[in-house]
Amino acid sequence: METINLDFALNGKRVSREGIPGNMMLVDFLREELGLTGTKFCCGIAVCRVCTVSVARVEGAHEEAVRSCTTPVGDINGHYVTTVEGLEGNGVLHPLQQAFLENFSFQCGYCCPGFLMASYALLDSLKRQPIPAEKVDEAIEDAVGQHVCRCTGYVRYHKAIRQVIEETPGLVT
Amino acid sequence: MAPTPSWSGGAGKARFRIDGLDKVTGRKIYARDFRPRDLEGWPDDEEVVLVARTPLADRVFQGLDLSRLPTELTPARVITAANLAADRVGVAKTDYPDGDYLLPAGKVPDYLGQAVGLLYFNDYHTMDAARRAIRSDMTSGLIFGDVVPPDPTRFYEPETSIIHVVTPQGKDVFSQIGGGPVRPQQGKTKRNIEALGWVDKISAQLEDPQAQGWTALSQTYETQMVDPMFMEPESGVAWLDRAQGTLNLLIGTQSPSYDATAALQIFSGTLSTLGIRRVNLIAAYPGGGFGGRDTSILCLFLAIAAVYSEKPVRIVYDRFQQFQAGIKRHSSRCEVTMAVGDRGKIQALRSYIYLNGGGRRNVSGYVAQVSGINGTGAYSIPLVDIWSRATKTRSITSGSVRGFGAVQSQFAIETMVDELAAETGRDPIELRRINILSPGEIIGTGAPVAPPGLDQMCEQAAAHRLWQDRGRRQMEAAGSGEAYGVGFALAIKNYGTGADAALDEVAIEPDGSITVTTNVIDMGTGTATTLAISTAKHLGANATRINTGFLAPFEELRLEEGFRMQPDNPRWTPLIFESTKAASTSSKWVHGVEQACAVLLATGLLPAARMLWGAEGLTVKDVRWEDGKLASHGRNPIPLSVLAKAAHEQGFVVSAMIHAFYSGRWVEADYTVGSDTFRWQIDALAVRRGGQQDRELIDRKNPRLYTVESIWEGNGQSFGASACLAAVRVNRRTGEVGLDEAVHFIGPGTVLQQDLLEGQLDGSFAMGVGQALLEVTPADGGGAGDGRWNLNRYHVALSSDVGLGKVEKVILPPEAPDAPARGIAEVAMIAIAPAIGNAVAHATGIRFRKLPILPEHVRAAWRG
Repeated sequence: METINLDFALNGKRVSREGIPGNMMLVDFLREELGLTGTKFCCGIAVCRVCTVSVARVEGAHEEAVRSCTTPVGDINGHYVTTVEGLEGNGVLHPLQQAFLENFSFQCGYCCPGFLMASYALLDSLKRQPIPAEKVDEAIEDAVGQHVCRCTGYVRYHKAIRQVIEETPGLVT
Repeated sequence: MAPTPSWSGGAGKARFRIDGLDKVTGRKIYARDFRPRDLEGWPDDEEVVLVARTPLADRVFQGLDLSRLPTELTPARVITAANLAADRVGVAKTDYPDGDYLLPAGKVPDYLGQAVGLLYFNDYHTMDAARRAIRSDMTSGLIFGDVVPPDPTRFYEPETSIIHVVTPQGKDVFSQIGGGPVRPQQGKTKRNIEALGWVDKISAQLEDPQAQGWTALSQTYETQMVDPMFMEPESGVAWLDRAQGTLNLLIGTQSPSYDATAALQIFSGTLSTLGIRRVNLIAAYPGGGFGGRDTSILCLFLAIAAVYSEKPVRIVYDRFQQFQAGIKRHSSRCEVTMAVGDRGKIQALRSYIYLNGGGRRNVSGYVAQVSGINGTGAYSIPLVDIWSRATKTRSITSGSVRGFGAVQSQFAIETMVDELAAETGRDPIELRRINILSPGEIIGTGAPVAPPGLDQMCEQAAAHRLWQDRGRRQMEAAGSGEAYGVGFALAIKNYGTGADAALDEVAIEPDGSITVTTNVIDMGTGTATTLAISTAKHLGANATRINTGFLAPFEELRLEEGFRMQPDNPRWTPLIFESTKAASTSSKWVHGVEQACAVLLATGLLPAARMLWGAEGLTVKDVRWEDGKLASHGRNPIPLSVLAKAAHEQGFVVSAMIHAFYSGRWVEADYTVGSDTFRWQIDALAVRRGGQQDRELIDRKNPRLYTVESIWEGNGQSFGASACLAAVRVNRRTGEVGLDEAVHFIGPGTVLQQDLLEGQLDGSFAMGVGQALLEVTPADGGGAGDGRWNLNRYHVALSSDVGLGKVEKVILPPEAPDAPARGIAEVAMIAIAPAIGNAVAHATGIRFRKLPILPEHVRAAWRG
């Protein structure tokens, strides 16, 4: 089995590992090798998007929602990865986390990290390229419309994401 | 669970879920997140176990041959049925055994996906690679022999007959409640002979409806097998601590109490050699449940896997395995004949309900029972003959999935009512209102338990613009690419099972912080939050901590279980514990917490207040909570923390552990604590006093028990109501059905937490859309049992499927100031699928009697 030396940034910290199978999926590396179990596994075939993390190719670049269950660790070498564990800063929740809480957006909560990270990437995109208010719902649907949640019917996830977009200066023209 | 200080929204309310912070920050709370090294006292090292399963169930299994696996993927060890037989590993009585945990060579599998072996690996990655290799060739590693046809006559006991006869004069002459359950197929008792006589009379009238002046229709309706598709595939870790004789299990389950009991039972024959003295089950937060984690067999595989390893073991299903092994909603076939008189009154119903119970008995017999009990739907029907049976097949195990049989039987009834409306030229809602159950009216069992709200739902739906404009909008769509239609459906469903138990302890610390401990768990519905806010009624504050899924502490109540009444035994109760199911939180488990709090108030905090106020004769009626302080007229309010500190210092009661039992009403009894006697709606009590470690068991006196005959037969159940008005568009080219708009009605009674209620409505609506239009896996060959199903083939509703922003919620106000808080998480789902089906029929002019309604079905019907 071909192995690689892995070197990437995870939640703002450098992660270096030698001799990791290059085809190991990112979700397995996070959960099994690093013990970071905030990123969830559900379908394993990139359909449900529970396992979504955010990846920037270089520091400060566009955040992109990536399905970690079908992303080999070799593909994120040198990149900047953010998971749900990286959202909280100095004990302060990210606005998305706060909004998900206060809107009772999730129930069992298992799909919550995936929704958070896809929304996180969406906020980054809107910071760079704000959109008209009337396009917000469409943008949310584009960002999380393929995410599966079995509990909630999606209503309160979308409501919370919209709330954060509307309350964050500079995202809507 | 770590406390989340800011979750509370003030006494009796939540600002967010008590488990919210853990979930939104990705902390380890699900079983899948835990490794042995995360658990205190467990060894770090582990083995990872793959449960190998058969993708075929139509032929003789001859054994395992893993020689084709690459050397590096060869398991370190394989455990088969031969090992279990050699070690006399038994079956769990609690697990409803009628098969083998591991399929022995030489037998035909009982069901698709039956386990054939436990494969041990040294690490997760090797197990995962072996799993993929085995899946890549469906029958890899399995040797099969001859095909053996199934026996189509097998079924699970009990069958259920709901026979109800009301004379034209309104006299109830035969009902389940009127003389006990009947089982006409099981012998010639006087009761059964009488029942069969009525069956024949009902049948004779339905066979010749014209002679009665009736219009009758006979149709067959089918619903599909559905996967609960909770998001976290089942996982768990286990370790047999041989030094202590303790089997440790950590899983995400709805039934921790059953699972722990069953896990101990399977080794009962080998207890002495294995040295297992107790089972310690840690209940993790389940990543969804919906019934699919109620007595799931995973726990028992974990237990078996652990005893064949010197290390802790981990089982980690992937989604393919979860589809193959997980509990499903029963597929069904309902053969319905219904007749209406010339004034639109439904005169008679005959319904034969067949649920595919699969090849391993789970709770199928009870699902069939509930299907029958709910089989008359929301209607008052004078002549009823319902017979429901769970057939024993070779399909995947089906069990306790949201709706519990009512989804199936009421799809049939609600579709049939629409068909009869069309047949008799009546408006479908008008026909429903002619026959609607009034609050408290007798249902098909004869029990006077009809829920309120049904007629209001009909009235509001009939007046809604969707219904008023349906004809016009259908006409407007006539020339477009999409047909338009609107449908309506009602639903009733029991909440609670008819024999419900609550086990709760509420304890208060000297600083006033409150801890609730319960045996039930929170699968996402909000149970933990709801129980945590339920302390406010009697203690003036929310709990700061809740421990879910605990059973062992309640052994101190020393309860003795049995359905035979033992009126003189203060330890006797019909049922010690139940699974987390049946929408029981708001109605049943809240009661348990509230009663424990009432004990704490009366025997702990109030005595402290009396002492501090110097007011000897004060009773609970003289006090009230105001802003976290206990107040009484003319006295300075005392903060909870001050009372708690005093209660601890004075040796008053600071912890109350209770058991409560419900079957139509709560058992109540007198309890003497110190020198005072109180009457509470509980059947067992233990208290702990300040400064003491041990609990004091208080014997009940003068109990008001109940008649055992009522249990499971419907008169102990409570019912809720829902309805749905759905508008759909059907693409004339592709046959795709899209939800256009909807109105979702619910009658919850008293609402405990609005956000949680609305969340259940949203989620049940989405699941109902899936039932109607999206979800299906064949119950037999080619279905999920072959181990090759995943979300690429099984379609769960996405946000674009559920009419996001276009579903109006109508939450009826409480019918009375003291209206109960009804469990709604099941009933809210039931009306969705038939409403959509009725809308599709309105749009297309074609009646679809089989779910789901897929585009190819619509296209085929249009082609004729």
